[in-house]
Amino acid sequence: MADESSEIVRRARARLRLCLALAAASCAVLLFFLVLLARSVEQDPLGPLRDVRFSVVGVGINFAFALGSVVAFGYWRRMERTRAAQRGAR
Amino acid sequence: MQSPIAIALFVTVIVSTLLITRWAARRTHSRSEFYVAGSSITGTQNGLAIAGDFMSASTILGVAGLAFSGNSDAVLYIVAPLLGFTIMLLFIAEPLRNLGRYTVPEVVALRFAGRGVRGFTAAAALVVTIFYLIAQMVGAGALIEILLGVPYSIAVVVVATLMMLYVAFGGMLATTWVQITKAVVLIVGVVVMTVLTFRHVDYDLGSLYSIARAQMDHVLTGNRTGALNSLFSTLSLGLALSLGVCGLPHVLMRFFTVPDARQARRSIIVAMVLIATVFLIVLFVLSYAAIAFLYGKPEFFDDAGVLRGGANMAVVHLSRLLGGDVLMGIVSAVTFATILAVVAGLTMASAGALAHDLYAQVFRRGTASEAQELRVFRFATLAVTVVAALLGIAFKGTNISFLVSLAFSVAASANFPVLMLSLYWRGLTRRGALVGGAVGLVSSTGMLIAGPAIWVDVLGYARPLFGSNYPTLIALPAALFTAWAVSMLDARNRNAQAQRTFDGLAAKSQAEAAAQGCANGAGAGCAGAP
Repeated sequence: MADESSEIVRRARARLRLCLALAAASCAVLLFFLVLLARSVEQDPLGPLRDVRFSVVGVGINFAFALGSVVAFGYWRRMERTRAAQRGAR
Repeated sequence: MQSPIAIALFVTVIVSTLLITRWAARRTHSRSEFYVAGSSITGTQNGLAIAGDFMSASTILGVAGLAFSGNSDAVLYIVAPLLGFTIMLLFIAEPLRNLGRYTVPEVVALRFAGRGVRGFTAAAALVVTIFYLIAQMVGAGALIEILLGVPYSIAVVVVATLMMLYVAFGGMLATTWVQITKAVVLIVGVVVMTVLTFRHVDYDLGSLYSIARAQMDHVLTGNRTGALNSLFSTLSLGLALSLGVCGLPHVLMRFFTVPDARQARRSIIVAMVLIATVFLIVLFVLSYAAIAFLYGKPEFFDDAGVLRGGANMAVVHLSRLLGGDVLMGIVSAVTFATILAVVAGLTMASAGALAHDLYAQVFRRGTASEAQELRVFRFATLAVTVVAALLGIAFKGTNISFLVSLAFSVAASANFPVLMLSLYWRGLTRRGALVGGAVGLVSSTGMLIAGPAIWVDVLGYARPLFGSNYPTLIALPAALFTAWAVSMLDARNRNAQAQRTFDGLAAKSQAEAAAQGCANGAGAGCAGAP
């Protein structure tokens, strides 16, 4: 019983760590993009609109990170399920 | 611009949504059915409803309007919310589903018994939803005025009456299906406009951007008043739009409508994919098409050279250019449906906070019967409707995206920190949550009022007291720091009982993960798992 509850705690902690890492990476990417946006507008107020590539790449990277986080989170859950099933089989 | 097609389609939207409401009203009797549709909505349906709830008038009209008027903030409004949905998926959706039943303040109140924190979180939820409602009312009034020739104030009253009917009679079930219907027609509408735009430029996206760039060089001078013109405002608005999503009561409330945490996760993923798709199309196709095709066409501008109905109407004019009165009618009806769906969700959240949290729990201390609470819920719906209509009329002409950013600022500064700290920080005390949340709420609304958009533009003073319209970069850290500092000083409340409450809730919030291990045969110890 003690083993089991420590297993639940371990799983919850590992999950929280993964979530924090994914969120931190996404935040860093957005922050970098925001700084670039502000810099671009400093030089030309229409900069981000005029240079479509800038916006497409910036927006694309942010979306990729958001969706990548979803995939990574799903993958981790699947690994946890497999691990739990293996322990159960033993 | 009164087209019979547009009028017919508006009437179709109104009749269809009222039929949905009548259908839902027959299936909605209990409190659970009223507030959360009996938690019977599937993850995919809820994802569609979240997308319908979130993609408001600011998405369709406001972002394109910003780009059309040369304001690069449009890019920011598209990018930042996606981070919010990621954070919601990683940290909020599951605990909320596992802990709550009807409203978000209820989840915070599980940690801190008593009326103070619950009353505060309900009040903060009300402030956010009212700001958001104003934006939707302004969009609806402008749209109906320009398309049907109905005076702005009457248009606002019509929308307010419809939202009251959906919520007061159909509850969450009607709201959900109005939102699902809206999400589907919105996606179809946006895709049709995209195809027609591509056809207009012979399927050469490069030439669309070339024409748009040429128009920018000749017509647009660039807007030097947007958030992107200072690093502080950029970061502040980015923070508000991303973390504010996680504090929007009408979006968070949707997690209570699904049966379990798994469906809550699925909801977010479906919603994220749909929202990302529509956002990308609105910014990278429709906004550029509006810039490329509308400038230089005098029929879309008034004598003063201003776009008829204001920049917010750029997408509607674009639809007329691409597909004549038929497409304009369809797009207008889709936008109208969008507004109706969002206001229904907002009214649901604010009436729920008034009836379930403030009336039943704070004032009646849990002694109100289900029938009394539902009666108050209907009165609350009426009250919210009246307030929203009056404020919608008062804020006529204000940019919709800016109004939405106000709601996000308060949500990010007041709701988000209290919710996150309650879920994840063991050291938070009741006093810390209350004071920290109050600092976030008061500082964000205070700085918003003292900022240029309200202090100068609305109240008529010469100089703003606070130099930016975006206070989140100050208000959110201030709320977090205050919550931390007050909790640390409040040693008396950090007792063993409070720690046990947190541990119990933390275990319950992870209930599904623990149960999953048990379901996979992890051992006899699972009997002790929450």
